[in-house]
Amino acid sequence: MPQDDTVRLLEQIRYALDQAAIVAVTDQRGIITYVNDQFCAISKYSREELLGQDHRIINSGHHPKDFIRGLWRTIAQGQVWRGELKNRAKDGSIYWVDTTIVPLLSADGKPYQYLAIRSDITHRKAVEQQLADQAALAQLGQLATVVAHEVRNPLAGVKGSLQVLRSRPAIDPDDKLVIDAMISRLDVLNNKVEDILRFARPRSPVLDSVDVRPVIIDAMASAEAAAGGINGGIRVQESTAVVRADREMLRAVLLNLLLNACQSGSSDPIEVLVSEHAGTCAIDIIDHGTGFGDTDPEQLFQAFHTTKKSGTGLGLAIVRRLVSLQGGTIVLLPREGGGAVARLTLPCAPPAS
Amino acid sequence: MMPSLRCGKVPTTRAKLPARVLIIDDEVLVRWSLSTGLRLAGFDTVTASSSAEALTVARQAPHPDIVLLDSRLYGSDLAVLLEDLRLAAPLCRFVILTTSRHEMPVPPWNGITVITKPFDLVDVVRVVRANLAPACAV
Repeated sequence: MPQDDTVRLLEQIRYALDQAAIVAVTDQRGIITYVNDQFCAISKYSREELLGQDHRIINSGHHPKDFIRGLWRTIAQGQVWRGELKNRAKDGSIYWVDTTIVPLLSADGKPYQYLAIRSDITHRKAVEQQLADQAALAQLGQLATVVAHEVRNPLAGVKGSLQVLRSRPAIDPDDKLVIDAMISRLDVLNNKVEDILRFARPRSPVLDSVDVRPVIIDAMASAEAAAGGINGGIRVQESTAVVRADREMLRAVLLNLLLNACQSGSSDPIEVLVSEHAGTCAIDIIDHGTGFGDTDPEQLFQAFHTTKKSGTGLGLAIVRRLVSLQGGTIVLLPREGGGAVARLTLPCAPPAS
Repeated sequence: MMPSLRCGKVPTTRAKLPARVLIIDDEVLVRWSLSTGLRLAGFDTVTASSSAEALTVARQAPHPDIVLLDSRLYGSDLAVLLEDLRLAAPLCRFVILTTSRHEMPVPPWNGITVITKPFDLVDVVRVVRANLAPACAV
């Protein structure tokens, strides 16, 4: 083949590859020497920002060091590496790429550059994760139901029997106090079982158009009653929105978030702000407390993670479960100047026809 | 302070006998506490730990006026047992005891009171009284 034709063919292959994939070339040290437009688009970095850097710029920190070392060992030996990588874009968002790294070898068989061809599998990964989560939750739900029955049935027998013994006319007053304490412990135990059931097996939401303000006011009154009065009180903004939600679930979520805010260790009022943007309603519950320190706020949503002495560590996990059942999101953000913001978003209700 | 189990009027049957409560549960302490608590409140009680035993008791005179029935009685199907008990004691009323309100199928048990375990004995006594009130001569 004449050399001109070979060059043209290579150009065409490169054009086709750029259309099909996310492409990068690095030198043997891993310094990026070429990226195509797709690489820039998915990583949200400009070409100028990427060239001369190594791939640590998009490292998400997800993969263990051994995994990355294995990758390098493979390609440094001149072998092709294939795998799935989780990367972080410039704006902090996460994307997954199915990756093939091909070492390009010099005449002496040593890699002098690496060609990385990737395709975006973020959506597939999200679906896989969702399915895995659902399967795990379904199993947990079944487990919780069985455990709840196995625990509550004897609990009912013990509590009832204690109540009978307590009602005996000849009972010693001191013994009566002990029995009262036993009964109250059994109630605590039962509440923990209830919490586990609420997390593992919530009922299906009944979605309706719900005006958030009355629900916030209602949850606020319950929070004040439960906390026995709140130091700085709760300030709710005038604005409101109509969302698509399950009223009772929304109330439970707000109550939980307000009670959390009450325990933030501040005497400043808790603020509740309602805003609406592009079909989504955001409810911010803001405290001026101690915030979360070094803790990653996402960890606080993990089941059985607790920072409190009492409690099952299921409060925020239940909140997230109930919110996602209603098609919403919940995140905790640090408040500028100290404290925390719990941001709940829910889809706005379609306008009444 | 828990209200006493003894207070309140006990519904009686037409023969002026105290109302008879059949308690069906496979947990012995549930049977004992409900039976003792309801007796203290003035009811006549009888217990069964299986569906076979429950049907034998229900068929004998005096028939129970009300049945407290565990929703997950070991080795039996709630719907079938409920139907058999209705045939055995047609005038009888039913209260279902369950560990999880969510697992209760709604339509067939419409009108039947459901009590969740663990319960307060005073609540059980109140529910039994309320269920018997319309059927019994005072």
